[in-house]
Amino acid sequence: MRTSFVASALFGLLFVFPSSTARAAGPCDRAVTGMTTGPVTVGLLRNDLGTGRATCPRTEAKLGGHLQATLEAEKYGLDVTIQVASGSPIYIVGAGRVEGSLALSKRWEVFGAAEVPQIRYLISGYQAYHLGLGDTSVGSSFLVYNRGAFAASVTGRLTLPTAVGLYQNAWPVGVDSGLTGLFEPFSFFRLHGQVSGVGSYSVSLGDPAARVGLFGLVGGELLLFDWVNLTADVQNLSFYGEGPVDHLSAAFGLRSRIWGGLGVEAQTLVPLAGTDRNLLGVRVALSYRTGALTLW
Amino acid sequence: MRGVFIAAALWGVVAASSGCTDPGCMNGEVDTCEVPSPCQPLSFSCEDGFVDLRIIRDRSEVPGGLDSLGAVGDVLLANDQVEVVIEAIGNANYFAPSGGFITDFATRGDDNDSIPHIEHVTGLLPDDAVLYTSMRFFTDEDNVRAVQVIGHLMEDPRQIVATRYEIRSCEPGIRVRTEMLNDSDEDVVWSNQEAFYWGDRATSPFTPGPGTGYTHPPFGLGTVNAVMRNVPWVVGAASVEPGASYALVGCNVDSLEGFHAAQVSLAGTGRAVVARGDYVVFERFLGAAAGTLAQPGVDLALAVREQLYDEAFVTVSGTIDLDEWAVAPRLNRASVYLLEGQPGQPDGLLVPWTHVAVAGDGTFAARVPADKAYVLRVVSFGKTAVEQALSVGTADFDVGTLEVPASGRVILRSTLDGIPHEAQVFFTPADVDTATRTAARWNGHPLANAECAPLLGPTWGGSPACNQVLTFEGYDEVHVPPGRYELFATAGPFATLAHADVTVVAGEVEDVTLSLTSLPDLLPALTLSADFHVHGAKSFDTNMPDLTRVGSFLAQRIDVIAATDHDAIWDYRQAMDELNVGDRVKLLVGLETTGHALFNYNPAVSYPQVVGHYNFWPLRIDLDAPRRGAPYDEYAEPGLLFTRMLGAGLDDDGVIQMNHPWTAGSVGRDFGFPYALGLNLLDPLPLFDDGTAAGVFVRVPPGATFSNVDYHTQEVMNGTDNGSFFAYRAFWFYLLNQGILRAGTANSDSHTLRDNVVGTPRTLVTAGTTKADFSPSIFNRAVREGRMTGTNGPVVSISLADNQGLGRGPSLEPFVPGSGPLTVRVQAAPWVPVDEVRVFVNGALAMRITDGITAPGDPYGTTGLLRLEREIALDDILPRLDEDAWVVVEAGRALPPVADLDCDGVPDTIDNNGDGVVDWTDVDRNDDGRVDDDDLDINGDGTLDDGDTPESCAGGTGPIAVRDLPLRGEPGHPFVAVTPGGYPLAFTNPLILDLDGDPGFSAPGLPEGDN
Repeated sequence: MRTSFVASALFGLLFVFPSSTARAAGPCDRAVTGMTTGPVTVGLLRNDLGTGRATCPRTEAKLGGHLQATLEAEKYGLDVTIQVASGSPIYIVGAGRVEGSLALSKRWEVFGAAEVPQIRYLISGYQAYHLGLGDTSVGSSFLVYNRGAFAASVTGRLTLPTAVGLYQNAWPVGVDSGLTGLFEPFSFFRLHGQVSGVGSYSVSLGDPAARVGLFGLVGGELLLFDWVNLTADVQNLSFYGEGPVDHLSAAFGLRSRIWGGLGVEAQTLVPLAGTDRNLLGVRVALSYRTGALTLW
Repeated sequence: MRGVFIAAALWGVVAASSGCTDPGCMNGEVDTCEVPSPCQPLSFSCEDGFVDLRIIRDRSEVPGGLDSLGAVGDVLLANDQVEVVIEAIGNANYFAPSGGFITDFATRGDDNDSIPHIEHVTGLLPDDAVLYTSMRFFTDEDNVRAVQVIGHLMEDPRQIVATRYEIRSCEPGIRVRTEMLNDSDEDVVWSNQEAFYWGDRATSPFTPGPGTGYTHPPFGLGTVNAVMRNVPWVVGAASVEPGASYALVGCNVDSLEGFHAAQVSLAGTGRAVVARGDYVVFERFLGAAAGTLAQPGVDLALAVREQLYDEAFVTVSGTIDLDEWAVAPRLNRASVYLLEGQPGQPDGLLVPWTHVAVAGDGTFAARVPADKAYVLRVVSFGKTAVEQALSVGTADFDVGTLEVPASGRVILRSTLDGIPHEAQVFFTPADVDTATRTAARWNGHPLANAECAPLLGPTWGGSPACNQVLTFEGYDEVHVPPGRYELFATAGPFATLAHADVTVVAGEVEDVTLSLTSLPDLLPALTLSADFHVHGAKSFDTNMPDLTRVGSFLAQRIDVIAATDHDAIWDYRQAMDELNVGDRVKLLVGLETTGHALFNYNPAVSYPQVVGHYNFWPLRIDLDAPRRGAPYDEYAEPGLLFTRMLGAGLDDDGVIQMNHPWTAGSVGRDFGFPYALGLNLLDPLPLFDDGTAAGVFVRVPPGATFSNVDYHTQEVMNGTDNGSFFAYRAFWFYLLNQGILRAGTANSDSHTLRDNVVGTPRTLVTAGTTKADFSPSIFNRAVREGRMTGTNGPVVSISLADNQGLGRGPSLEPFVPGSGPLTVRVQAAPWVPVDEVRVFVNGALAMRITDGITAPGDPYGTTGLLRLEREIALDDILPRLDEDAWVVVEAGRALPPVADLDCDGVPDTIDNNGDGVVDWTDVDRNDDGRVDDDDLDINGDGTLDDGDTPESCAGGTGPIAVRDLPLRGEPGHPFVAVTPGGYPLAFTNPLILDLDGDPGFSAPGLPEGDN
C-alpha cells in the first residue's frame, strides 16, 4: 500500500504543473542526435527498476546487452572454489536487451525494455542457471518544465515478471516513480538528478516480500566533442528497513554518435558501499535516436 | 492504487492457477501457520493400526539399534510399523546447528536403527544448513500425528524453513514436507534436500542408474555439480544385523536430484535459481523396512511409487542351493543382484535395481519395475557365481533353483597356553590362483570397501569381516571359498603367532587348531598396554557391533581401553557383561570430539574449517542425555572444547589427547588442528596470539579456561599402517624443542576388524598400578606424565640414572642425569622383526644401531625375545653436556630416508624411485600409484630436460608410505600378515635432561636453519 501511495502522489504531479511551462526554449529543445544523453541507466535490480531516466522525451530504439557479476576477484583471486567455500556465492546475470521509447509529443514519452534472452548463473556450492526470457519494464515520462537552462520530468516505470521458468511460486512486480531534473549551465556540460520512490511486491500465495525505498541520483555529462560525451553519476538506493544504505554506487557512461541518429554507448556501475555485493554492472548498446514524432 | 489493482489482478491469476503450491508457512506467519499434510495420494491400510506422539521421558522408549542416539526430551513419532525419534530443538548433532531432525529410525519392535542422522539442507555450505527454533505438535486428527518445526537457514533469519513430519497408522514410514522461503535480498541457488548422514563403513546408499547401485563417483566441492544426477528413489542399505533399510521417494517431484557417497547422500528437488521472495517445497515419503541390503528399502520405494506415479512392479523370487550343512548364511555367502540390461553388457551400462539377501533356507524375493529385461546375478564371496538373463512382464516371476559353487567349511579353534582363548585370525591366499579367484570387494564399491582375499564377510561389520575372523572363546566356523590359504592367528604382540596351512575343498570341513603361547617377559613390570583410540557402532562411521568390538579387545589382550566414540559417550557395558570380560579389560569411558560444522577461526584463510579431533577420558556417561552425556562440540576452538569437558566429568586426573595432528581428513573437515591451521614447523610458535594462525594455536579462545595447547598427549602413532608417522613425529619433536612438553601415545583408531587392528599400535604405560587393583587416577597420571612407550610390536625400555642414582625411564619430568650411560633394551615376540634402533637427541638422529641386533630363527617360536641390550655414553649422543636436551629412542624396521619437499618442516616424501636420494623426482604427480617418467615432465613439453626441474619447495610432494613390505614366504612376512600395511615400530617418550645447572628444562629451540 505504501508503494501505491507514493506512486500516486508522484503521478499527481502531472496535474499540478501548468501545461504552459514548456513554451520557452529549454534544454530539451536541443536537436536530437545519435548520441545518448542523460544519466547512466545501469542498475542492480531487475530490469531497470531503480535506475536513472533521461529528462527529455525522445524516440529511440536500442539493442544491447547487460552483464552483472559478483566475482570478487580482488578478494579471492580467480579461485572460484575458495570464494564459494568462504561463503561468497558467485552470481552472474547476462541479458540481451531490446529497449525503446516513443515520444508521443514534445512533452510525453512512453518507453519499455525487455531482456531477450536472459541468463542467470549462480554458484554457491551448487550451481544452477536460468536461461530464457527476462523481465520486462514499461513506463512513461512527462516533461513538466523546460525553459532556460532547466528541465524537469515526472517519470514512472513498472517492471513485470515475464521471466518464465525462473519463478516457481512468487512473481515479483516492481514500480518506481519520481522526478528527474536537468540543468545545462553550458552547452558542453549538463547536470542531472533524480529522486524516485521504488517498490517491489511478490505476487504469491506466500509472503509478498514487499519493499519500499528511495532512489537518488546526481551526476553530470561532459560533451568531449560534439559526438561523444562522458557521464559520471553517483547513485544511492535505500530500502526501508533494510539498512541505512543499500548501495551507494558510482556510474560511468561513454556515449558516442556514429552517424546521424546512430549511436553507441557503454555504461558501468560500481558499488562503493552497501549491502549489495555486486562487484560490477556493465551495459553496452547500439541505438538509433530521433526527435519526437509529435503524434499530437 | 494502480499498483494495488495490478497486484490484485495478478494474485487472482495466481490463485486460480493449478500450478501454484499451497504456501503453508511461507506466508511469513510463523507463529500460527501450519504446514500442509504432504503426499496426499498415498494410502496404506491395516488392522489395529495406531499412532503415537510423545516426548520421551525414559530411555526405554527410545528405539534401539546400532545407531540409536535418542535421548530423554526428544520426540517419539511412532505407529504400528515404525518408530522415529526427532531431536528436541536444543539437541544438535553432527552437521546440524540445532535439533529438530531425525536421529533414530527403526521398524517397530526390532531395535534396528541403522542411520546416524537425517537433516534438511539447501546445499553444501555452512550457510545452507537449517537451524530450527521452534516445534509444535498436531494431535487432533484421527490416526494422524505430526511434528512441525520452524526455523531458518543458518546465517539468515529471513530465509524461513518449515517442516512437517507426519505419521499415519499402517504406514511404513513418515510423510515429510519442507518449505523454504527466500526472503533475502538476493537470488539464491537451492535444492530443497534430505541429507542422510550414513557416516561411512556402515549403511550404504543404493540408487538405480547406469553403473551405480552402491557405486558412486568421487567428488569435491569444485566437482560436486558434475556428479549430481536424478534418481527415482534413494535407499540406504544396512549390512549388519539387526538392520533397517531406508527409502526416500519424492511426492511432489518424481525424481530426486542429488549426489551420494559412503558418508552422505543429499537428494531432493532439482538445483534451481530461487528468486528473491520465492519459495520451494519438497514433499517426500521416508520409509524403513527391516532387513539388510537394499531389497527391503527398494520393495518399499516401489510400493510407494506405484501409488504416487502408477509405476507397476513385479516380484522376482527363487532359491539358491547352498551347502547342506551350511550354517546360517552370512550376507557374503550368497546375495542376488537384479540389474536392468543384458548379460555381457559392461557393468557401467547395467542399472542395478535391487540387491537381496538370501534367507536361511536359500530363498530370496525382491521387487523390480515391471516390463524390463534384467540380468540376475548371484554373488558369492564377492564374486559372480551365477548370471542369467531374465525378462519380466507384469506378473511375478520365479527363477527356480540356482546352483552356486560349494564352499568349504573351516572350524577354527584357538588356544593360549593350552586354554581356549580369543584370537584374531587372518586368512591369506597361499598361491596366486587362490588370490586371483578370491579377491573381491563387498558391494563392489572400490572407494568404500577395501579389497579382501578372501571375502569372508561384509568388510565393515561383525566377524567375519573381510579376511578376518574373531574366535569368541576360542571357537568359530566360517564358510570359505575353495583354495589354499595360510592362516595367521594373533593374540597381540605379547604372545606368539600361530600359523597353519589350510587347503579348503568344496563340501569338506577343515578343523584347524591355532595354538598361541603368551610371552609375559616381554612386558616390563607394572606396565599395562592400552589403546586410547577405539570406535564401535556408537560412532557414526562404523556399524561394528559391540560384541565384536569387545571381542577384539580380548583377542588382542589389551589391558586398558579408552572408549572414544565420535560425539557420543559409550561404555560397551552390555557387551562387556555378556562376554563376561570382568577384569580382563579395564575400560575408561571417554569420547572423541569430531568437528562437523565449519566455522571461521583461522586468520590465514578465508574459508571456514573445523578444529580436528580430540580424545577425552574419563567422562561420565548419562544414558538419558543427548549424545549420552557428551557436550556439544561444534563451533569451538580446542581450548573451549577442553572447558566444556569439565562439565562432562573430566577431572584433574583426566587426559586430553590430540589425535592424528597432521591429517587432511574428509568431506572438507580436517582431522588435525595443526594441519588445519597450516602451521609451518620451520617457524617457532609465538608466545601469545599475534594474529597469525600460529597465534591461534597457543591462544585462549573466548569463553575458555584452557588454551588451545593445553592438551596432555599427542598421537605419534595412529593406525596399523603407520601411514602418517613421520608427520606426527615431526610435529611432536617441534613442540618438544620449544619446551611444549606433551606425551606421545600410540593408538589403533580402529573402527572395524579390517581398517585398523585394535591394539596395533598400542601404548605401554608404566602405570604403578595393576589390573587387579586398577586405579584410573594413578594410571591417567602416568599417561599425562609421559611414562609410556608406543609400539606395534617391539618393546623398548630405556633407563638413565639420575644424579641421585635413581633409574629414570621415559617421562616429561626433567631430571639431572648422573654420569652413567643410557641403557637401551629392545625385546620383541619372535614374529616381530627388529632391524634398527634409533636414538634421537633434540629431534635429530644421533645414533643409528644396526649391529648386534639378534633375530630369532623361528618366527613362530618362543625364544629369542631379547634383540638388543646396550649401554650408550651420553657424550656419544649429546651435542653438548652443558645444555638441556631430550632423548627419544625408536626401534623396529630400518626406515628409508624421507624429505620435506615443500619446506614446511614436515616430511612428506620417501625415496620412491629407489635412487638413494629424496627429491622432486620421487613425487607421484599424476597419482597413478607409480613414480616414473610420466611424473617428471613437469612443463609438459614432452621431453625430460632441465626445464622440468621445479623451483625449490615448489615441486610437489609425496607419497611417503613405506612400501616393499615382505611378501609371503619372505622374512618378516608373518608380521605383515597380522599388521596389514604396517612395519615394526616402537618409540619411547622422552628423557628430559636438565644439564645446564638451571632448575627446570630450557628447551633447545628449533634446529638451526629451520627459522
